[in-house]
Amino acid sequence: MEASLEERILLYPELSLDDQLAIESFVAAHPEYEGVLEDVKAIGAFLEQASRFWGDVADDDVLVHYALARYMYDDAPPEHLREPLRRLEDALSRDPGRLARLERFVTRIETADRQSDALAQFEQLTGHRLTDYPKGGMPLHLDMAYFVGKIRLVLGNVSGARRAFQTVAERNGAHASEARRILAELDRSKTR
Amino acid sequence: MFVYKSPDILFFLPISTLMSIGSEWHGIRDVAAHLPFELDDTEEANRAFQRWRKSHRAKEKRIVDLWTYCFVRRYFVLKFAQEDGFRLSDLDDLIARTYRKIDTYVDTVKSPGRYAHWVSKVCKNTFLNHTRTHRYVVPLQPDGPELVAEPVSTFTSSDFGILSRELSAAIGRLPEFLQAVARMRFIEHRSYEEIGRATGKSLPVIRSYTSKIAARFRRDRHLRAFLDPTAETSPRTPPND
Repeated sequence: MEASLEERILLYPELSLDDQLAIESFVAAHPEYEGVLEDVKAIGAFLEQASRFWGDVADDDVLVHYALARYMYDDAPPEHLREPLRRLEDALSRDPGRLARLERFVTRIETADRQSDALAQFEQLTGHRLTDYPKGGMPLHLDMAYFVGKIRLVLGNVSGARRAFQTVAERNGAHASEARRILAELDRSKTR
Repeated sequence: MFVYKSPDILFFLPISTLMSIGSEWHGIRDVAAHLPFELDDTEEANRAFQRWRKSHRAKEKRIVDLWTYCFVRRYFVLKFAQEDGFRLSDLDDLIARTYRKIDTYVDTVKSPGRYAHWVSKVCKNTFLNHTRTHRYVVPLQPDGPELVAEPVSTFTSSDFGILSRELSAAIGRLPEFLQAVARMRFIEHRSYEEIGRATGKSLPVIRSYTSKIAARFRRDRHLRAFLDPTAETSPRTPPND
């Protein structure tokens, strides 16, 4: 595929309606490009959906998700929610009229959750005892990848450490930001 | 270490008051706190399911069941908050019915690597079926006659935590030189001109970066697995009740 043509298809969600129609016509005549366009559309739709929660527009759908996240995590949201929540809170602080709406959602979530005891329902449905579960913490192997990276660094195995930290960063779980910071430091020391 | 600081706006919210009421009652938060990974981490949920499928160990099953229950409960709590027509008295039954349905049909999951999607699909189907078959009643006035309302029609598939997690992770997997542009373009929705001014790059370069980002996203196997509609095109979801 020509570079310029591939680039145009990849930029499909960014194009004007006329240009999008031109791409559609082209792909209709060249079905070998259908897969690329389908992928690009799916990614475009995902980006549009996901970024709604990072924007300045606090419509009801965004507000109710915000209320649920705050209900679930209170002041300690997981890392992946911190920035979108902060951005949303900034937007809300400029629009106090939305607060009443938000409070309504918080009340409804709390009312729904209080309808029954989650622990009792969980134990009744699953037959498990919650006391059999250790409380909190990421799975051992996620933490292990991070600590393996640290140990390799101490032992001077930089390429091995880099692989371990990349795994941690890629999973975006516990220690992901710390792993990225170490990787950036390794990159910097490499270029020195 | 990053410490999340709540802005002043939170002081207006009754959450802290709500969370402190009663010590005997347990909410979803108390149960989800026992998960060994985040509830939004669908990749880890899929791995847990795959591990259980392979080993059939009770320990793995316990993790799958805990994640499934928390996902189902959170899903319907959110639905209740979103939809005015959703009767509170239906909530518990729907949670229990959906969980049992998943438990009964779990052996029919064709793609264990997409278990979380399958669970989500079962929740959505059960909820949609419920809204179709239960005509919600909306009282006109406290003691007056009752009107039969239209069933709730809006159903969004968006999930704040899961989508945010995927977006953040996908951008995090880009080469560093593309990450800032990706954030400005796809999170902050800045124009090419604004990104150009912020980065000191020319418009053709920003356009080329955006194209590179799109190409990287397309090759990103994690993102592909998350979005791939063909992996389980027709999830064998349980029949509607």
